[in-house]
Amino acid sequence: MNKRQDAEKIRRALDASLSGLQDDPWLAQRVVAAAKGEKKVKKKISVGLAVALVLAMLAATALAVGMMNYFSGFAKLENEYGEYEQWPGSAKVQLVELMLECGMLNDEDTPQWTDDLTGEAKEAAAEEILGAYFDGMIYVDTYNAMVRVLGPIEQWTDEQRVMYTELLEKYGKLTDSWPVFQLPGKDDLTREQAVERAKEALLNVFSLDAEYLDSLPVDALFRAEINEFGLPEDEPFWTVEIGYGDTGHWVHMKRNGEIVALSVPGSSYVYWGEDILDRAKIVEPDEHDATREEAIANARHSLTEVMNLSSDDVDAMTATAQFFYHERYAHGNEPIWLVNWSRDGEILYRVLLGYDGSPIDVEPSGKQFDVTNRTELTLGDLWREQCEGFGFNAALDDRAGGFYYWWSLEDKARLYEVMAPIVAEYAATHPYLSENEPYWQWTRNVSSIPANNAISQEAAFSTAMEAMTEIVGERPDISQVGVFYYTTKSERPEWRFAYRLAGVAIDANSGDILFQKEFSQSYDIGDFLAEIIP
Amino acid sequence: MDANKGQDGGRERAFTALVERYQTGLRRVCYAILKDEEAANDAVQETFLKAYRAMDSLREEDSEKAWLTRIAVNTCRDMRRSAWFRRVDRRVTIEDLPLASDAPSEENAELALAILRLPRKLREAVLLYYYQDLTLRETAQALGVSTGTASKRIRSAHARLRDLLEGRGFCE
Repeated sequence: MNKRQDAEKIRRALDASLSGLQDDPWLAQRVVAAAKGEKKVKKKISVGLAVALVLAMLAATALAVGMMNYFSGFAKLENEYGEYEQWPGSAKVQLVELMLECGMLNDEDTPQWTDDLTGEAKEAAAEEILGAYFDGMIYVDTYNAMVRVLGPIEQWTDEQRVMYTELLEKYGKLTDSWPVFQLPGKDDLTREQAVERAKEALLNVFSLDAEYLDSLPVDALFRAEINEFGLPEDEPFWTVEIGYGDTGHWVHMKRNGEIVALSVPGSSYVYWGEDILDRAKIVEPDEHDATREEAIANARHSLTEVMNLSSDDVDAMTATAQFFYHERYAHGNEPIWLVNWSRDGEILYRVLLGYDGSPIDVEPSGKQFDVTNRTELTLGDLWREQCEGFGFNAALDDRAGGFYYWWSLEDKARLYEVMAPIVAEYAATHPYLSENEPYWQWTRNVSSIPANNAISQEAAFSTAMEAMTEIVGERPDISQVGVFYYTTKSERPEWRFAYRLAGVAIDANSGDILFQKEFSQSYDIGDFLAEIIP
Repeated sequence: MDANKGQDGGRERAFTALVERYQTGLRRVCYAILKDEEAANDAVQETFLKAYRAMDSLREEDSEKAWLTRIAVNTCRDMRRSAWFRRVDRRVTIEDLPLASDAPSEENAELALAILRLPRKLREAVLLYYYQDLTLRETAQALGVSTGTASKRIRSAHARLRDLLEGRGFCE
């Protein structure tokens, strides 16, 4: 590596590509003004100020009590009247009164709420006040009422989480999918101990920096739930999250601190004490995979380039390569090469490579890999590169109508037009492309606009609704049913209708049902759309 | 009072010079970390605000650029942790790059996008070591890691960018 030449290229590339970022000519002046404006004079606290502070603390406590009463009252109303959308006007009046009493609303929020209001006028005012209060929330229930006040659940305190669990339990709404939050008992690890233990474990298993971990925000959950770690469902355990999202490191441990599993950003769990081969499914390389010799040559390159070993150092070691599938690596969809480098029978380094021989990670023996996937453009990346030129937003969910399933037929046809050739080209160069890949599933059939002689969407929809009602035993919610029109067989176009529990395909010429399926899980809808009916 | 005014005036002139000299580079570094123009502008302003408050702690032997870059990286990390930032898709395509008066050459755009698509830790290392031209020690200090770790990240990043740096594009 020649730093000067590389730095020059990198500077040139970034300067040219980011030259559209505008400098701010007034930045210095604004910063100085802001810095001066916020200068505070230290004051000795006067008796008057001290009294005011105590009053403020009392007010905060009162607010906290009011907040808890509000959540509890909301849950009670929900229990009595069902879904918020179905509540009668009288229930909404009760809710407004509760919110005023608990300090969630004040007179400024409710100018229309006057003493002389009665009957329908009062219910209309309650509707208006609550409409403004919950504006922008897609679904209103106890949980989202709490989110509206407290922010996302990761910002809730342990006590608030426990309170929500207790509300669910009290009203018989605790389902298997919701964790049962608890407060640790005297024999359990405390939150601080759990965090400390999690950091120790991460540093032990991965090549991480203690200072870096310390710089990340931390959350710790103590709860019982159905889990993938073989822990009893009714036994609470600690989960410590260090960092969030793409910096999130997770450690799960029993209530006594025994570590169960850990993960670093962008990869799935490593179980405590496991070796990489414990979950490996050994296979033989195919013609489109790198050969053993190619894998070893590339691994050698990683040792010299990334680990900075000399050629002599590498020559003094013996390489052995294994080729296998492993659910933690390459998303579990592609096999990987693992090359171990040993001296005197002891493994010193391990190099992980993709099926094509591209380097993924290299670690000294004893440390787990923290990069687990090949770097490459996904079909999602390719869509994002193309979509705006075709009048779409990058995020599928941003499209009017929500997620792809609920797009208009015109939009679905447009996506097909853009992505079908891209998917075909991608599939030709990616032998391990998963059949669960959404863009692959959405372009198996040809999405089109209905021809004039096709039976109408209303007629086909009516047939499909009847069939789905029969399959599932209850009538689907109309707003949840996605509509598709395929001309894969041009002589026999078809309508397809699907929602999370079932799907039906209908011949668009005759109106006959071609195919129908009950889904055991919501993912099945993708397979249903990809099915090509002969 | 007058003496304070004189001190303040000298401090402000020194600060203004610092802003003029470094804001362009820092804005690009912040953009490359955050992948959001507005967030990058906020991060640069916050960086200089922190720098103004802490100017007295800048020692003569410290490099101004390394010191400012360290503040900027930490500011960007703080912003990335914020609740709203975590919920936004930050993948960058060529159309997302800030609109420049002259379009970059294909070669430059390809390398810039490859840098922006590096995993965050590797991207930060490249930006500091190559783009900001910090030494290995300064890069490690700014990232809050050991020199060994910084060195490993730089080499890993270089390995991923090698073809582009050697002039062999992805398409060739």
